[in-house]
Amino acid sequence: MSDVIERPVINITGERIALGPLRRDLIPLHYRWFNDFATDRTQGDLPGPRTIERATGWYERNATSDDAIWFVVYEIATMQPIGMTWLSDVDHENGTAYFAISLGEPDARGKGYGTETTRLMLDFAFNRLGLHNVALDVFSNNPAGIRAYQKAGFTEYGRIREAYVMGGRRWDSILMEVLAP
Amino acid sequence: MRDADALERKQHNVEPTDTQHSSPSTQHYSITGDRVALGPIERETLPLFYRWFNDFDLLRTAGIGDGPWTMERVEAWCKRFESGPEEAWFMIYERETGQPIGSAGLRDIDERHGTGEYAISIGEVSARGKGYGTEATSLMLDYAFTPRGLHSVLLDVAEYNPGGIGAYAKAGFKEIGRRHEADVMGGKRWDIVYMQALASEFESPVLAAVFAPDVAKVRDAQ
Repeated sequence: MSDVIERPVINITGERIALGPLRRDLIPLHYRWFNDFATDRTQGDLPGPRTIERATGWYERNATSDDAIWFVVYEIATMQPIGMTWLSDVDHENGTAYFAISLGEPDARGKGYGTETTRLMLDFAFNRLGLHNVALDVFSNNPAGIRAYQKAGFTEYGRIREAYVMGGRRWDSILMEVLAP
Repeated sequence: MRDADALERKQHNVEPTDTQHSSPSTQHYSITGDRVALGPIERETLPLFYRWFNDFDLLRTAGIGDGPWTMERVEAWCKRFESGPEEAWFMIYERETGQPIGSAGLRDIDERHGTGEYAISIGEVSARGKGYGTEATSLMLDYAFTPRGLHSVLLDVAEYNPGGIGAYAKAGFKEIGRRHEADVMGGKRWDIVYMQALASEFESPVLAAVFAPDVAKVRDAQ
């Protein structure tokens, strides 16, 4: 196991980012990320303190999930885990899924890692899973996220007006999609 | 409400059951419109859902999967009618006959954001194409916005269902997006159309009068 921690198992290797499976020994790290309100700001979940039991429950549910496909995101330069990314509602009949990402490490933000992670996940969704349309929701209080998704190939296909409350006001939920090349 | 009888019925929220049509023995109207009414969904109506959900013409647009539906699967699905705070489902009645003709519901109700998602199906073939879906949808939006106090209601509908899209638009929904080629039907890819209704753009047809604050009544009486 210590060997795994020193050299994590990787599924997909990009230029500066690599993706590997969720790991039980990283639960304390997820626990820390889940309790960072700066990350919560852009996620849809109810913000609040999260216990280690809740982080463990999250891991138990998703480590064996058939509905969602989760990866840990690694920075190749350091081989440190910096966040997570996942496809949910994978629907092979219609060829659709939803994409999401959360970079929990504050130092890893603003470096283009989100954009590269998004590209790698779209590559996986289209070329490995054979999906046709990958979509995401992002709130209008997160322009950095919107720009990263655009760079990776997403375009806006709709806007749910005033559907997200944060900081005492309402924001739009922006719907974005990419079609298979 | 166009006459004294109707007003009387509205105040008691109940219409007499028409026994000729073998209606369910318990039938209660919570929201009464012109031609349809909405009430709670009783367990004894499960056989109706079993019949409706095995009508492939209904399944084409219902967005609940492709069937066939066993009674056990219908029972499991209908558990959602015993709704917690995240769901609210109503039976749709044709007022003229007192017959249940379909169901409508709000799902994923999120009190924090004031949002919910809408779904409806008119199960009875003879009740389709009469504008009942439009009126039921308008009453459901009234429920969502007036007593529930939601801010926004969303739905999605397949591009190959222009009848549904037209009915939702008439009831108060506006198209806000279109996810391209995301639904496969009949060997072809179709768009999924997203429509939204906002409380600030909706005028209550029925429930604003029912849920009027007492202070207004007192003021009017003075």
